[in-house]
Amino acid sequence: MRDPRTVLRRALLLAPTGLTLFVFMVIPMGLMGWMSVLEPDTYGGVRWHALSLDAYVQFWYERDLDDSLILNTAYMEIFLRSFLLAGFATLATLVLGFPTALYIALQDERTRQRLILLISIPFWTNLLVRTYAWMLLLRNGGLIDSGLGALGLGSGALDVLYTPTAVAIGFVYSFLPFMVLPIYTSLEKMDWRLVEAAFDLGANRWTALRRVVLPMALPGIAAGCLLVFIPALGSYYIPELLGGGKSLMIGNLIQNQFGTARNWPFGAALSFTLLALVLLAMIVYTRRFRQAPGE
Amino acid sequence: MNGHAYSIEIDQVSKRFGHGSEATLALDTVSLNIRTNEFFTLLGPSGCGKTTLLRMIAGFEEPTSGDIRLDGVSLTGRLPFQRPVNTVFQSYALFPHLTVEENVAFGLEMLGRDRAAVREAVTRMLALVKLSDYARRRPHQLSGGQQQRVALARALAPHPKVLLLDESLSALDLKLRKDMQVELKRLQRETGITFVFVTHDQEEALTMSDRIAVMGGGKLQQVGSPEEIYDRPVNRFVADFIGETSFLTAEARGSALEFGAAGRLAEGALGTTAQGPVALAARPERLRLSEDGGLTGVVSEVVYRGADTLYLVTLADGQNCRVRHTNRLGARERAVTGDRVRIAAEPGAFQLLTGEAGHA
Ligand SMILES: Nc1ncnc2c1ncn2[C@@H]1O[C@H](COP(=O)(O)OP(=O)(O)OP(=O)(O)O)[C@@H](O)[C@H]1O
Ligand SMILES: [Mg+2]
Repeated sequence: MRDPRTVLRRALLLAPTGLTLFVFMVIPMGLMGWMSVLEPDTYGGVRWHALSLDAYVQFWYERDLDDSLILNTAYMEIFLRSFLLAGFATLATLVLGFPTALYIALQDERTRQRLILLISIPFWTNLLVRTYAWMLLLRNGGLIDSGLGALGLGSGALDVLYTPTAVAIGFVYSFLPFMVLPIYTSLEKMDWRLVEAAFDLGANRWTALRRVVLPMALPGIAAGCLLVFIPALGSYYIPELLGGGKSLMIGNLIQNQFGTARNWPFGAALSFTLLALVLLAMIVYTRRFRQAPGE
Repeated sequence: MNGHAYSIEIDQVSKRFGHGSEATLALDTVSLNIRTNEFFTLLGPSGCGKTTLLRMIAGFEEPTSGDIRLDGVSLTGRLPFQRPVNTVFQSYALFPHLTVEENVAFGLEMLGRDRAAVREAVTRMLALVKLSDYARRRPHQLSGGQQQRVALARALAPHPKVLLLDESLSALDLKLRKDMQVELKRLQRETGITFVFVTHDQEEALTMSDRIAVMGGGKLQQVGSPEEIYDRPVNRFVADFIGETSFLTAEARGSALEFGAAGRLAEGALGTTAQGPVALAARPERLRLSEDGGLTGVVSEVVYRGADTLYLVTLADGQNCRVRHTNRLGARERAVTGDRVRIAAEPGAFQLLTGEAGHA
């Protein structure tokens, strides 16, 4: 039943996509994977052909003077902190973003478009610039600090900048649109007559929200969570700027390995581990939400 | 609260959508009383305000003016979920993320029934609509007719005081529709629930209803039993909307009707004692082609329709009139196009239309 011409036509149609994926995904990935199992060169880079699993061992263990391995939790702490911060960012943007998306979806057509425009305005400036702005806001003696002081609420030292709290604030600020937009999209498509049906059957507003709106918005919520969690997990300059350059998160750690630490294989191994974790999350997502309700 | 003769009282209700120049008056001072356990039908052409009236009973819209009472108590300000009224929506509005049985259970759970009671009631409702084998399916795995029956079971399960049905049978094929009509009538008798049924299908309305309200242009045109609506339409709108009708004008003099050049019909062709110029409506089956008929005309068209034949006759005074005869086996056609014929009428065949001048 498979006509060779159909097969050929299909192959040709898929070729551009396949080529792009190969050049920009498979080759760099392969390079990364290969690098992660090589030995580091003294001044950065790697010794090609010198195979070693040291990079992966290094994540868990430290080599003592006598060459014995002792458990090292420092890197694990960074991973854990990254997951906690990214998880917090996801939860906080969800708690703020869902009501926002719902509110927008309930407005009339024109108001909706205006509000969506407002949500997307921050994208018009570079995230780096906006992160610097947050530094000015959060630093001791900055706008928030002196504002609180003027109100008699602060003692003059806010001490928020260069802490995980500042990173969390930066995350919630910069990732909120990525939560609002997909949820809004799923709510916008929603058939509001279903909510009327729920009311008709005796559900009050809260029950209708929980039993009808929320399940229908689930694909949007899941997409929003992925869009916040994954970039937050791997984010680099928000923790770099607001977290004060300490190796707070995986992104900083990786940058450090390719930079000052001059341990490319370790950086590659870290990247690979992060990738594996993200991929796992993606697989869980597609398994669970492949089929939107009602289809 | 059962001392009330009426389940629903609609008292001078108007509904206006929009403001200023864009405003639509969807309902214009409608007053209606619907009896307890009645099968009451709202009948009318598209856009006449049927859905709007139902939505106001259910609580999705508030009347611009007027009041709606349920068992004597005003519903004003009561939200949809505070009204013991359930709806079978025009679009079904089944919850796509829930199974059939979860859909049916929804209203019962909202009433706070315990699990066992909910399960028992759901089983009973699904048996009633003959969907027991489909309990675990999702709505999108059902045919249109099955979805419609789920919607019915879901709305009936909490045993509301009033069930509103918005063109609930319109998506079904003829056979299923006839079955559902019988089913709905049975449910209405057995449950004691008041049914308010919306349709634009006159035949459906005539066969199912205890009473019918004919609506047109946001106004109530006539309320009555199917016989009253069919045999004694009060105005041209009702006569035109329901069944086939010939509209004629004549001069009522004594007990006779004079049609000018076409002749006259003696003794009681008109049901009432009105005098002078009158606007009349006549059903084609109440007239017949007959040698002793009082009206003369020429057959302009003969339409064979299986069970009967329709003769379109141009009367001698220029008016058009329809006459219908039931077809008998082996009988010849009574006339062919171009024949000169005479028309006779049953007593009371002509219905006086009010609110119109006699002469066109
Ligand atoms: N939300 C609304 N805003 C503005 N106009 C409306 C609204 N709902 C209904 N209308 C208008 O009110 C009138 C009555 O509408 P309604 O839906 O009650 O008609 P209907 O009798 O149910 O018609 P159909 O048989 O087509 O369902 C129509 O002219 C419609 O355009
Ligand atoms: Mg309607």
